[in-house]
Amino acid sequence: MFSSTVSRTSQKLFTRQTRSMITAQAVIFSKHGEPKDVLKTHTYQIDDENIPENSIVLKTLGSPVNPSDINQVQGVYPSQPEKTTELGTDEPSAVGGNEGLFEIIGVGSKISNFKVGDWAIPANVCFGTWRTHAVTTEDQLTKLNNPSDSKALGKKSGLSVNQGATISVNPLTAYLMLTHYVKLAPGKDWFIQNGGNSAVGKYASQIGKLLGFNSISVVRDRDDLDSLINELKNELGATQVITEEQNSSKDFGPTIKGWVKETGGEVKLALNCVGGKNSTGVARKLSNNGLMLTYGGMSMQPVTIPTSLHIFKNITSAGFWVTALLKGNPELKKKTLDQIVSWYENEELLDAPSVETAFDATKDDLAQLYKNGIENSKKGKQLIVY
Amino acid sequence: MTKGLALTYTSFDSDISKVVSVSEYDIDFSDLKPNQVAIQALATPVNPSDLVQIQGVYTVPRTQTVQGKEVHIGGNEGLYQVVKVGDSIKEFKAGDWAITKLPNFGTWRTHAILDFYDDANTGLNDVPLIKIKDSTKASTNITISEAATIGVNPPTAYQILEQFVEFDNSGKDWVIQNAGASQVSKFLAQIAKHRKINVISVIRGGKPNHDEIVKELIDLGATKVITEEESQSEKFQTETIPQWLKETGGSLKLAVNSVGGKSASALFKHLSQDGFLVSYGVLDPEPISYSIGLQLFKNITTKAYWFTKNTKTDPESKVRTLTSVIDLFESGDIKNIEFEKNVYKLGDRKEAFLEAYKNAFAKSSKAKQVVIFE
Repeated sequence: MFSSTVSRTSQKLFTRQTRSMITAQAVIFSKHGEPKDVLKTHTYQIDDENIPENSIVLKTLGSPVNPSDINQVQGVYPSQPEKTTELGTDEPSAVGGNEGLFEIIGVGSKISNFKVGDWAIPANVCFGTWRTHAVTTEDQLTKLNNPSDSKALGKKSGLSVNQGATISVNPLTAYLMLTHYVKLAPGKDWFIQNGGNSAVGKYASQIGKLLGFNSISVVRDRDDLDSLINELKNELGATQVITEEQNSSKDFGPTIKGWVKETGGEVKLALNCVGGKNSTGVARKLSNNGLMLTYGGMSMQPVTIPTSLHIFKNITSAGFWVTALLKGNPELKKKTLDQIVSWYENEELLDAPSVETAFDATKDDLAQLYKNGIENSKKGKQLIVY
Repeated sequence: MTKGLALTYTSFDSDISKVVSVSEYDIDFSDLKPNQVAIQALATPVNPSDLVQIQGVYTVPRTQTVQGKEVHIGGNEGLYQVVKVGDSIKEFKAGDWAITKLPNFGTWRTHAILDFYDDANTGLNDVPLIKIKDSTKASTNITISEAATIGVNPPTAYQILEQFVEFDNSGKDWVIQNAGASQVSKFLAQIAKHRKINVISVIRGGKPNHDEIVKELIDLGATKVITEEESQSEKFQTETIPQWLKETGGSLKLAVNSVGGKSASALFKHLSQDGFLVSYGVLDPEPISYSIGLQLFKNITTKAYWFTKNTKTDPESKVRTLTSVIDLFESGDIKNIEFEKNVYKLGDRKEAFLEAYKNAFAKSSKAKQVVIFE
């Protein structure tokens, strides 16, 4: 399949066949370190006219740079792709990236669930999505409706490349945190989240609204605070938006209690991606028996919880890691994906925009493109499109 | 007609002796209704949580009427002897030992009459007592010392080991606890040993009788006893404790915290994958703080444990737990932890009653105190 893995016979293949194969590129690393030092472009051939019966050939439509992808390359992330010489590299290597959207461009004779033109995303993490093409098997893919599927189903709209390429982490994280642990009563109950302006935060407020949950989004104070509050409340579903200062202030507590009393519910859930004092603030807003889920640590500070909150309000603090939850639970992943896709198709959910950079094979070095993406990832989610 | 005495208060103050007094009340055992049970105190512990309740910084106690006056009666734990039962009572007979099922009964009193099968008056459950010793069963050998403090600490330790994680029970798994020399910790070490769970008990170092304490804890059932300093050191977090876990081939599934602050944060670091940090008490006002990365990737949950809350939610859980705890005492698998006795002779003047409690309050921070009724 890959010319370099069959190097002993490749000469025979080439002499026998005069046509050109697909020249594929992948961003690989053979050792861990800073991405700029360890990421390299590897070029290899894919023979798309002799596809093994159980294989599927993919073309990448887009793949983003997530913080966890960077940590994976650095070697500081617990989930790691296996390094192999499958792509014909001299040293065992892994392809970077975990999230991405692919179009199927070739299928083996025994493939029945996918056809050319279908869209798919990796079924699992560590797929290696930073590449132009891939060869894989059915069990490694999850099908998504492509725009013509959606049209045929009479949906308002088809998925965009950005929606498909960034569906596996942030929207799933937001949906599962809101639905998998605590049962919130629509119209009555509340959740509070810090990082209200983050990608997950915006998905959570929108999904909260779609499910009828009231939300309080905590955001950092800023010059254009009013326009941010307007956007989060009017376009992105937040019921209330407060500043970090208000989150930490004792005097502001009664205001929140008033909101919650009005709907006759409780603050059953807190979502924390910041840590430090901010996490203490959101945990304090919880009603008795509430749950705080921590899914990130933007401040690089620890979670801080007064023991008395545990004891007298019976608060639970737990971690949420979408990878661990969905590992070995394909049904849950499918159910969740179907819901997100359907909201996108009905134009009920806005995706978090990414900064898109198109790959031009004639002049770009693919690894450099992702290195730039990593460099710029603090400025917004970076998506490489093909 | 009998004269009963109760230690009561009507307001809260950090200086407990300012607000407590003795209420005397008439109680008539001669004319019990069919659904009533008369009890008389054998032993009532004075727990730190009872004291903070009087200081007004804990749960609000029930208000009850004693001799026409609205008061709070102190205490949440007590052992009583049944003196007489009404005609329709089947569960108990005179001579049985019992503790109250629900918290907030107000245990610091000499006598009481309880309504069974009807909780309208007492706010108590259907059968408001749990039997500790059957007066006619020859096989029961539970002593008054064991029974006096059976109501809170042993079931707390028992439930903490039951409620959060499943242990391998073959000598592989571990639990770590701070305040390792506390009453609950001593019971927890014993129960864990019986269940073949390894225990690391963390104690404060630097005491003159350090070696003696370590020996006592090891004898009771602790596998390892370490100091706070050791627990908070990187060496113990990255080498020593991981090595112990490796030797047994198990994981450290549960950390039990009744201290808070840095001590609790250190316990968090020792936990293995999917572990629980469970807090049931707090001494250090500093919050617990822990790495988000550790919480996410090791999937560690922090929670509270509160015996009283479990009992309120499911009163029968206390009955089941006590049954198991009594079995452990009777089989000799756990033994009583020493406490200090403050004796009040029933029928003595009310000043003596007050004095017994005040003595117990004064010494409460040093050792477990129990007022014994003779």
